[in-house]
Amino acid sequence: MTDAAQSITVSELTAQIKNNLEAKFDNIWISGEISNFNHYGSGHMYFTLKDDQAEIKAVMFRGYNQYLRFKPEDGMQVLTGGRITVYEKRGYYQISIKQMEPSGIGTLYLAFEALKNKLAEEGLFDEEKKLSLPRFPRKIGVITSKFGAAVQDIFQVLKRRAPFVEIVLRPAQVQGEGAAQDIANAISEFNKFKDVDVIILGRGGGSLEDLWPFNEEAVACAIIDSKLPIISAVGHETDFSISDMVADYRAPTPSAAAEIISLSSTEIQDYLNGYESRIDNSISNLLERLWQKLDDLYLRHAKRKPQDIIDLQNKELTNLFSRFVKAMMRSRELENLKLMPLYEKLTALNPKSILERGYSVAFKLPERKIIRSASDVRSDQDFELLTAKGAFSAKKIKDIKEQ
Amino acid sequence: MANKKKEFDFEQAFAQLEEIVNKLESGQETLEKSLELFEEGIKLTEICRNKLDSADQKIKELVKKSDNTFELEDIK
Repeated sequence: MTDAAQSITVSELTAQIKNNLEAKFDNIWISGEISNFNHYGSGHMYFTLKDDQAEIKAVMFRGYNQYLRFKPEDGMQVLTGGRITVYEKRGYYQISIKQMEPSGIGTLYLAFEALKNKLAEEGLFDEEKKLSLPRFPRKIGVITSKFGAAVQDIFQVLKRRAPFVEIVLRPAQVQGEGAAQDIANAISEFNKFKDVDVIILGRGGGSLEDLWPFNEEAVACAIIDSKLPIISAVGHETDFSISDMVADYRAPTPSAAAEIISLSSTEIQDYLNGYESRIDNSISNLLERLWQKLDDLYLRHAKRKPQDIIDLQNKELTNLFSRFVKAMMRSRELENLKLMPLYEKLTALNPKSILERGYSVAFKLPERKIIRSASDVRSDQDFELLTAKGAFSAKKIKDIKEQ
Repeated sequence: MANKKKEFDFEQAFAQLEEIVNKLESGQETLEKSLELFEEGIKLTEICRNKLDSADQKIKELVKKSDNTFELEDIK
């Protein structure tokens, strides 16, 4: 049996640990790899030193790190000198570093460089090997963690820009053991599934270790083998991964990937408006050409039975208009009948409606050319006047001087 | 099976619109045909617009079944 008298408090235990550890590891040198490096506004540096078996928290205070001759980064192998300190409040120990030197390039970097060189030699970064992205994807495949920020970013951007685009998520483990294989499987699953137009492969920022799966050969090969175009969006703008290099497109962030792949509603609207006005213009041109043809026809035949010809012409035109208007009615809601001005313009061009507004057309005889100037006719010469209802002969008396 | 290709496709609609407009602009079509093209073009732009408006974001999860087929499920 143990009773309270024999036990010690947490504080007492921690104090003993502190004394022992700090006395024993007062001045030590350790080598390891930097990860989770953070340089805070306070000037202090916090990170983890690790090898393949273990890790230890590390701190290098401003007073010491201001003398560093290099910029510590994740993945760097370093040799550090300092002492162990125990932080009683939180119950952990750390190395408080006074000196630090780089010792060669970190192993992850070496592996990264090796794979990069190998893939480059195989020509796998070549632009011509890249698939082009679809202009209007219907369905976008997304490979990322179901729980990360990346997935929410992608959904948000697509919801705002292109809510009509469908999303198919294949959740994948994006860091740690087995992540590379899971990502590679996800890519090949989409290729078997086939029913997406493009794949976004993404994850948010993280340490080099976190992003490591995207630098593994399994992922690189899956991307290269994919028949579906892939946008790689790994980490932040400054992070570059093998997956970025072999993918068909590299986006700086997952949000950017979603942005790049989705034409926004507004952009599609602009395209539609463009098409619509081209359609309107060409129909307008067509009908104007038609008027001209009918005018010519009228002029050539007006010699005989002008009223009949006019009637015939108007019948054709009325017919044309009613079909035209019907077509408009059928295809559009009345309130957004944008073609109305066009219709009015065409109606105004109709010679009959001009005559009905009270104008007449004067024809020179005998050739029945339209008189466009007072000098077209001599004084005392006969000509013909055409009104909305009937034509009659007339004679020029004299020119009237313009004031 | 998940592989239906019947859904609305902007890519296709835009290709069709491009063709219609090119034909209309060539001025080579008969009046009859032009009116048809016009009607078709306007209808297509309307369909596209409706598609843009009828927007409810659809998100599914790709799930591989034990028999190696795929299913789209709602995200849990």
